[in-house]
Amino acid sequence: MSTVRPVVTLGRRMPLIRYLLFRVLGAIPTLLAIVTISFFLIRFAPAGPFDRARALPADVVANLDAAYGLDRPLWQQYTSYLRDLAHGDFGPSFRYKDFSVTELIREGFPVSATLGAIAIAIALVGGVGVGVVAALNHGRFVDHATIGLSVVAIAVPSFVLLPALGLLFGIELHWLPVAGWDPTSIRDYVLPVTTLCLPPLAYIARLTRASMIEVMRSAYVRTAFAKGLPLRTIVLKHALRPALIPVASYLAPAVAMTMTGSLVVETIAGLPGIGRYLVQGALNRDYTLVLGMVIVYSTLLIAMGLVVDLLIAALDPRIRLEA
Amino acid sequence: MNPPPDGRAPRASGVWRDALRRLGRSRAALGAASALAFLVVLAILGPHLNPNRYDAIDWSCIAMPPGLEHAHWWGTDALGRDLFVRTLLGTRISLAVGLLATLVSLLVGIVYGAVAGYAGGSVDHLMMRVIEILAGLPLIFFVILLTVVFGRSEYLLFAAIGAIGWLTMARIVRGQTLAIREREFIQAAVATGAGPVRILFRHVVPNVIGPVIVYATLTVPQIILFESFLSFLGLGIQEPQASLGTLIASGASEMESAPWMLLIPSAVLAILLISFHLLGDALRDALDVGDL
Amino acid sequence: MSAEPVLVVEDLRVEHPGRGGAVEAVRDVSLSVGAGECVGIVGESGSGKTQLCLALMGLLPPSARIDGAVRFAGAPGGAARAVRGERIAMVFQDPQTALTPHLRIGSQMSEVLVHHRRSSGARAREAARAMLARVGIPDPAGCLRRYPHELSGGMRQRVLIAMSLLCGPQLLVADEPTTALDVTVQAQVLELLARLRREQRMAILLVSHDLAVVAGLAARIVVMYAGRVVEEAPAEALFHGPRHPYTAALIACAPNADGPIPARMATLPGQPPGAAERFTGCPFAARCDRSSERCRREPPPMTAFDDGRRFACHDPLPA
Repeated sequence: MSTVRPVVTLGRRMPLIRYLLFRVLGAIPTLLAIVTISFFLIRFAPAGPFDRARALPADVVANLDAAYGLDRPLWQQYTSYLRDLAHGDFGPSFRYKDFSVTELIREGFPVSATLGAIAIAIALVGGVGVGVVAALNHGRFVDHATIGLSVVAIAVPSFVLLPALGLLFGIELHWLPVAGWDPTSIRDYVLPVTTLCLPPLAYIARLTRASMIEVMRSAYVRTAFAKGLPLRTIVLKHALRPALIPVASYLAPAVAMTMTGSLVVETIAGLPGIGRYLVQGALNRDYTLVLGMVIVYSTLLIAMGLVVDLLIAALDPRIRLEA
Repeated sequence: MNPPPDGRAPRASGVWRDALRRLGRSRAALGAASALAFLVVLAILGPHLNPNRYDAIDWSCIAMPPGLEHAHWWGTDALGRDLFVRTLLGTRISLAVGLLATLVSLLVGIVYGAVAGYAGGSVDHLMMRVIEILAGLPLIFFVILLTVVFGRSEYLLFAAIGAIGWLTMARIVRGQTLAIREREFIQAAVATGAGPVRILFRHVVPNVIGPVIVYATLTVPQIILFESFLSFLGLGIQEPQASLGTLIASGASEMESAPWMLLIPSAVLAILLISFHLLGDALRDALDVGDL
Repeated sequence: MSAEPVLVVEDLRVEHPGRGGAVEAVRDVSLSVGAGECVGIVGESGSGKTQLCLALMGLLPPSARIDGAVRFAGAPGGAARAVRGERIAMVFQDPQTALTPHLRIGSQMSEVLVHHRRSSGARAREAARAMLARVGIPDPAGCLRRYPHELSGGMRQRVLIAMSLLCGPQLLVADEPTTALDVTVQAQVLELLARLRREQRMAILLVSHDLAVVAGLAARIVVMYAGRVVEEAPAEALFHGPRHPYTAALIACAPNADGPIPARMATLPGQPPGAAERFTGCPFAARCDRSSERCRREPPPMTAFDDGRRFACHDPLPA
């Protein structure tokens, strides 16, 4: 229930190109603030990347610090990080030796993004479908069942769902592989994608149901009924588009979350995505890796915010794009 | 929630009495409320009904299935600890952290949102910009840094999680405040010379409380779920203490050999979450809040 | 009056089951509309007018309980529902919200013909353009490309009227078609309805809380109160000699019916009863200055006369 309708208030005659330019330029300070906050937060957290359970000798740590530039004043490290960032360089990983953060993300992101995109697409189509059916049967059994099942789907943690699905379809029925990853084998996608898509599907179904019930009570839907149009036309042509606006608002965070990978799903299913880097990086004080992941997530979120605003403007012609 | 047109503030008691009456007519709400009340009572009293302690290891009963013929009614875990007592204590802790984090996010969100909405103009603009930036950061990143600082004290940790989870609440309160700021009863309060702080907390906040309560009932289950995720990472409640999340996380690894270790805490969690959701939905209808 | 009735309603009763018992929105309403005739229905808000219209159109929610008979001559078996939008059309009160916001006018109009007449898209658009011109829209071709929010309230109501007339209906149900409009626009829309009735030879059921709106157009007027018909008479007779005290009060509130349309109707003292209220006697008794003990005790029966007049009152005003 955390979607708040974005207030898009920009001029009618504003050309799309100019609008996009405004939005992209406006995102730069936001992103910079996010990078800055993250940089200093992680640096002020106690312990550093080379503090292990078994302490390294002090001179080794000092050498490592020097090698990674951690011995310089913090503000110098900050400016040099920003300089590298401006050249598209996320810096070397502290924990994955011999890998740069750019390489890690470049290798893992396609896996996470592919799975996430498929999951969100299924969640969108399935959730909207289920929500519409529930709304049209408002107050009847189908509706109650949808609400009940959606709460369960939102409530079951992925670390329960994925092993349970693996147990059922992999170990008991031998239909699907439990773990392992071959990007060309569709069967490998089924369980992780199912686990990823179920919560957003349930959430989208709830959002669609609620807004659809409201739209079906609106005066213009009554007009459409009075015109003698068949239910199919009324739902698909008149009611669905306005009912999708809350769903569109929810999409921005959902896409950013899902496409940057799920630690739980990728760890349990053994997928080479980027889902674990954020948590691992923060736990290990892998400063550059954490920052890289934060930037990927935030950029995706901001970009999706823009896409969603355009989507909403397309869904409702009364909304004007203003910069 | 519309105030009467005569310019007075809506009489809160009347609004709430109506809402309560409507709530009382909803079978889902009554069912959810009784299930919650039952779980709360069980979580408080239950552990005293059973002779076992939550951290006592019973070597003679390792991973024993549930049954009434022995003292471990809901079975034991892989270390022989009683699951009835652990599950109910876990329920207590999950509820406590969920409520605590929600309460903190409520307080911060209401103050922040009400100030932004009431101040308006450039103050509002700046404050919303801050929210936009904070919302651009992944929550888990903050939480992991917080566990470093508060890791040894779960309650402080969840208070801190609440303190960073207030963004949506603040947006809701701001929107409501903006909407009622121009209403007559606020203008009347301004005219009588009431100061902004007094107006905010005597007049604005009581009138935005409806959506806030609805959102809060939906935040509690979110936090409980989030706690279970942290427990899976080993960052939540620490052994030998248990939360529903830690129990489910350890149960998940034994789901083949000892499925009750997963099913029992999962069932309790599911009942808890479903009850909160149903209650939130019913409240939304009763208070006529619309979708958040 | 002489023409064969296009719509006959007999003892129509609409109930909405609620948690506090059923709410009777319409109680035992009977009326008929002849072909090409304009019948007005007048009553305060909450008197069941809109519920009656929705029941005629078959637009009530499935939870509503409907008793009695509605026979529409233009439909096989008399069910208006089957020919809704084609032979029987409806115009709603609020043109601001009655058009789908995300669809262009052209799309909303042509779909009626595409569905009912199996017209091609191009022919439907041409017919829509012609109909917009007939209802007096200055740039009909341009209007087809507009979204509803780009039009004024009066224009939107014209669009809605044009849309309802596309298939040449035999009966138009107009529920408060002018209430949401400015006074000058009100007059234009009423003139338009009068002209279209003549040109298209269609019957109109004109519903309003405002006697003055109905006065100029309707040949016969039905007065409703608390979900019931309390009086019906030819318009002329009704104005010159109302028999039911409620009708008299309504006329007293409306300024000269032949004069300018008032911007705001003066109101009757007291509140009209809610639809959930139940009566043992006459529902108007509480507000009626002629009411007696008998009015409060027993419901007045409907008395019909040869001149097409009927009313339900124990103590009617003298003829």
